[in-house]
Amino acid sequence: MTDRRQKLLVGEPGPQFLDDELAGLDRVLGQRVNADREGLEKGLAQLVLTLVELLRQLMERQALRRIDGGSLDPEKVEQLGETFMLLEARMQELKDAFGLEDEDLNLDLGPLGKLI
Amino acid sequence: MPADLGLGLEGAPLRAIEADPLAAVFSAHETAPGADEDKLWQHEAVVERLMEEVAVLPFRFGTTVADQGELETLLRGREEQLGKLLDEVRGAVELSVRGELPVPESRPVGNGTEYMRERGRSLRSQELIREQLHRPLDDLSRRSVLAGPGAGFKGAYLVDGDRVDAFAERVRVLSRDLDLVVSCTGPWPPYNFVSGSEG
Repeated sequence: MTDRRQKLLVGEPGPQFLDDELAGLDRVLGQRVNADREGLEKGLAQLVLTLVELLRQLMERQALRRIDGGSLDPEKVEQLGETFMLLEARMQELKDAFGLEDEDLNLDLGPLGKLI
Repeated sequence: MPADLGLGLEGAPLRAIEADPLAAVFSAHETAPGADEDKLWQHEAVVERLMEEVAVLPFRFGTTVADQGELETLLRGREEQLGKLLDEVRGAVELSVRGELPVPESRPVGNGTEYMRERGRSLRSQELIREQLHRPLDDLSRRSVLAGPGAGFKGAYLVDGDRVDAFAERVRVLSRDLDLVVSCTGPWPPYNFVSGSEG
């Protein structure tokens, strides 16, 4: 039987250092839906916030590309920046309310890797 | 193909369907074996044992087909395509590199324009470090797949079997020079290089 450690060529063996290679199995198995009411609410919030966070990051990158490309006037840049700033603050409030960390807002898609 | 394939998951004998010059190795089960870490390692051990003797395009753990006919269909008529893929991975292994890219300290911002400037600075700094780590590793590999963008570094590198030590040493040096916490694991079967060249 191959041992986890034998696969480590460089670095420290953190508790989950092979999860990606093992198709994220430990975490996927651990993520079965918890069917109590509070668990369901938190799970749903986590899913929704994950998608919002993904969109926020994509839109932010898109906006930055447009700014770098010089296709936005200063007024528009200020407007976009303020919107993203408020969105980030609002996300932080929601994360706090549901007791979620940044790392929670990242779906592990197994062999496809992390969503964000 | 090794004469004795040995045992697969749940002690089921491994069998091979041959479609010269290709062969697909499988074990037959009434119901698909459940997934746990031991079984993943068993799958890994089977693939690695085969890799010692022949070039292998590994299936992911838990890939199932309904019957042998379906497996034959997968092979038939694709000799050229699969042969080309096998040539690409022959004699090479996959090495995986993971690390966190530092998020630069954000300066306080007073308005939207400053916020966007800070975000741009932060992302560019991460991309620069990603590139500084990836480029020298890519130079040592036949091919590579880099995930991103995102805060983490996650790369798969297809490396000649006799360059594994040199690759690991380069990871060590880069990790030190760039002051990053990086891990490198392997050698793995070329899981990320079984579906053809990009570009």
